[in-house]
This record gives sequence, structure tokens and C-alpha cells, in this order.
Amino acid sequence: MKIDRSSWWWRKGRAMLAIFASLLAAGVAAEPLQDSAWSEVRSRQPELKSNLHDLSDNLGQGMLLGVLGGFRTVLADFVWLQSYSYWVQHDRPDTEATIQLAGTLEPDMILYWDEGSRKIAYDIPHWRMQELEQDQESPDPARRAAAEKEVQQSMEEQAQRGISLLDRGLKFHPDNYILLRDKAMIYQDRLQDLPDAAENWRLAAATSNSPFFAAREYVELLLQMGERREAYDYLRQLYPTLPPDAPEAQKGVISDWMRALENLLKIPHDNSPQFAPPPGWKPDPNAVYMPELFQEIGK
Amino acid sequence: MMAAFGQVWQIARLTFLEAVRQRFFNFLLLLSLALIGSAYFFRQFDFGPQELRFSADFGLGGIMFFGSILAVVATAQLFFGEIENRTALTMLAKPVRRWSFIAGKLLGVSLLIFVFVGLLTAVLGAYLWWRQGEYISAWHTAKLAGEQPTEFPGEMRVQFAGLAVNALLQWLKFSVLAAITMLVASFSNTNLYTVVVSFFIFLICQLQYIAHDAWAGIQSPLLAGLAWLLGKLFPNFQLFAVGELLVFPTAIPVPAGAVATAMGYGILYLVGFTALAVGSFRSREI
Repeated sequence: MKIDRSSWWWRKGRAMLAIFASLLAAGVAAEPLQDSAWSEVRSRQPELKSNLHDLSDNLGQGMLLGVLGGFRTVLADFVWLQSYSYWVQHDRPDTEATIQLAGTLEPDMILYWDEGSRKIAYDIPHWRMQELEQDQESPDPARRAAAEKEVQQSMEEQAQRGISLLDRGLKFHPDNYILLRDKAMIYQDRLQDLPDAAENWRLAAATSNSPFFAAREYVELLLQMGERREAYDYLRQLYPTLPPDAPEAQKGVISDWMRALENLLKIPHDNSPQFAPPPGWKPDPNAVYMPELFQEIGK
Repeated sequence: MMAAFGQVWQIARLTFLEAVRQRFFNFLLLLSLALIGSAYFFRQFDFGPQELRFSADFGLGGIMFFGSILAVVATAQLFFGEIENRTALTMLAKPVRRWSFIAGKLLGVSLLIFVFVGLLTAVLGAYLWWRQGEYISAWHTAKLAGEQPTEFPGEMRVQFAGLAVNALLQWLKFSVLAAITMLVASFSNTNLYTVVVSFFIFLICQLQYIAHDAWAGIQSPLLAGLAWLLGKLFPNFQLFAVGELLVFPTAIPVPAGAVATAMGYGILYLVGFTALAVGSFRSREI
């Protein structure tokens, strides 16, 4: 085969070489543009490198290509919808796996961490409870005790798994009220771990969009743990920040709590204006918010 | 020169009109609208305000998926339609330059993509507006009842201007993809070959960032060189994902410079691939 300037190979080869050289030149010319914009995009995308193997196992090669190819968020949506169908079927391993996967694919979605952790920590132990219902009602005490033990174990394990999921979410959203609240509630309701629950309520109350009750939850837990001085100091910091006109802030109730704690701790009442009860507030003698506190001072 | 631009505009107009009459375009448009409309059924999952982000991700994914199909298939169909029906011969026998033909075709496809992306974004935006309004209203009702002490969270609010900018970036990306398809069509003989090769190139462009990110860390000089070459030969389509970051507020706002840079990057490649398609088409035997 003779290759001269008029041959097809020469003409096509030259054209291809020209295209190749032009693309290379364009790539080099565009590099500064690419680098600056790409660093912005890349820094906000989740790091998938470390768990590519897991992703490949859970998603399959085709879906993995979709994830890497820019369809990450929409595939996360599909994975989440899939987790619903597993949840409806009470399929524990697949429910958990798809919840974890959805969070990996789209960590910006609070829903995956929030609702996912609740499904893992609250729903799955109930499935186990339902499975063991007959054993729990058995006349045989040994069988009943074994079932009770297993349910308790499942509750603790699932609570820990729910907390682990929330911890993963908190790496991406360290100041998110919803995730901190969920964590506090799991510690409080499922593990009866009051110090950790209190710590997470404190963190939740410190977030910018926290509802007022988060701070009250923290104080209640401090009081349940006998940390009265700490509770009082926290209330003194909290009180001046509460708006007097927002009923949900319950500034008057907080004022009552402070007075009650001052009595309990034998601290002189602070009558400075910043700690004055809100205008028109009449202390409620039947306050039910803190029964143990009010009982002790004789109300 | 003005006459040549007039020709480009005429070809673009005719290409656009021909394309919007195609069943393929209308089918794709209906399918995409149905996909966005199906977000309505997410309400039954009771996601709360997070539904807005869920629906936005779903809709934007649909626009990206169907938009890329449209950019490749419509460009190949419209180009080979002219070649196979011999209308290109008639047209080029007149004083119509080859560059005007390619530029006109591309402009027509680009207009088509603009309408497609614009329409779908408008529908998605309208849906999000409606759902957001419902959530804000429910939030305020809860606030008045003392159940919800704060305003509707800012981070859950849709940034409609960001949605529009994202549409612009997606349009630019699909226009670059159309120009790539036109380059492939300019030297290939069949529609099918063009579509398949263009989709492969699209895939490489979507995954190019892996080569771009990896080459510095690769030990083998041969592999590192290959990764570097891949990173330079193909544009990084994931760069346009900067637009998706604008749809909802982020902890650190996306600087306007990043958006402008992505646009500049897109324009550079659009001009580059169009010029290459023109160059390649000039030596083509029709």
C-alpha cells in the first residue's frame, strides 16, 4: 500500500492529527479555567474514592458509571425510593444498606440521615419485636427471658447503628439541628444514656435555627442527672437571649425555673433587669414542666 | 460577511423548525415533562420540606439525561437528513459556504436545546415554586400555633435565579456536546456510527475528571502520561455541575467567578469544536 499526499490514509491521517493537536492545544489553553472552576465543584462533592468498592458492590457496575458520570444525585433519589420498598417489606439488611448508600451518594440531603437514622434506630427493633412476639408471650419463662434479651439487644444495636449514621451525616453538616436532635433522642429514648443525650441537646440548642424547646430539654436532662448548678448557669446565659413576646420561648417558665433553682441552691435572687420576669408574667403554681424540681421546693 | 451570517441564520431557523416538528423531539419532551411531573407523587412519601431538594435532584437529573440524548441524536439526525436527502448538495451548490452550513446547523440544534432545557427548567421551577409555597404556608400556620418557632429554613429555599443559571450552563454543555457530535458526523458515513461514537465521547467527557484528578498521583510515567492526555483531549463536563450547586443555598456560597469560568470554558470548547467540525467538513466528499 502506497501512502502519498493524495492517498486516503494521508488525507485522513493528516485531518485526525490536526484534530488531535487542536484538542490538545484547547485542553492546555483551557486548563487554568478548568482548574479554578473544578476546585469549586470538587470541594463540594462527596469523596467517593474511598468507598468505590462498596458502591460497586451495592450499585452494580452500570449504576456506578452513572454515579461517576454525573447522575449521582438522581441515583441517590432512586436508591432512597428503593429503601422505602425494602422498609415496607421489613427487609432489615437491604433497608439499612440502601439508607447508607443514599447518604453516601448525596450527603447534602438531610432527609437521608434524619429519616434513615429513625428507621434504623426505631423501626427495625420493632420488626424484631414483632418477630419475637410469640416468644415474649410464651408461658415458658426461659423462652420469654431469651426473647426479651434479644429485643433489648436489638434495640441497643440498632440505636448504635442509627447514631453511627447520624455521625456520618454530622461530618457533612456539623451544625445541623435536626441531626443533633435525632442523636439526642436516640441516646435518651433508646439507650437511656443521659449524659450523651444532654450533650447533644446542648449542641442542638446552640444551632442557629434551633427551636426553643431544645434548650429546655437540655436543662431537664441536667436536672435529672442532678447537675443543678450547671443547669442554673446555663439558664442564666439563656434567659437574656429569649424574646419576651414569643410564647414558644416560654420566658416566664424559664424565669420560674431560675427562681426555683436559686432557692434550691441557696443563691440570692438576681433582681437585675435582664433577669426580670417578662411583663405580665404570673408564676404558675401548677407548673408541670419540672415536677421534681417544684416538689423539692415545696410548690 | 453579513450575507454569510444571514445564511447561517436562515439555515439555523430551518433546522430548528424541522427539529421541533420531529416526533423524536416531541416524544423526548413529553417523556421529560412526565418525569418532572412524576415528582408530584413524591408527596405521598411525606419527606417534609426536603421534598424540594429531592424533586429538584430528580428533575435536574432528567434534564441532564434527556438533554444529552437530544443533543447527540438530534444533531446526527439533522445532519444526515440533509446528506441522505441530498438537500445538502442542493444547498451547497448555491453560494452557501460549508462553514455557514455547519454553523447554521449547530445554531439550529443549539436553539432546539435551549427551548428544551428552558421549557423543562420552567416546568420544574413552577413545580418547586408551588410546593415551596405550600411548605412555607404550612410552616407559618405551625408558627402561629406556637409549634414552629423559627422561619422556614433558608437552606431549604429554592434559589430560582440559581436554577436559571444552571439551565444556562446545561444548555452550554449540551451545545458543546452537539458540536462534538457535529465533528464526528463531519467525517463519518452513518448516523448510527455518529450517535454511538458521540455517546462514548460524552461518557469520556463526563468521566474526564477522574483522569484529571488522578494523573498527578499515578506512579507509572506511561499511565500518568495517558491520564494527562485524556484530561487534555476531552472537556470536563462535570465542571458544569457548578450550576447544580446554585439551586439551594450552600454553607459557603459558590463564587460568581466559578460560574463565569465554567461559562468561559464552555464557550471556548463550543467555538473550538465548531471550528474543527467546519475544518473537517470542508474536506468531506458529499
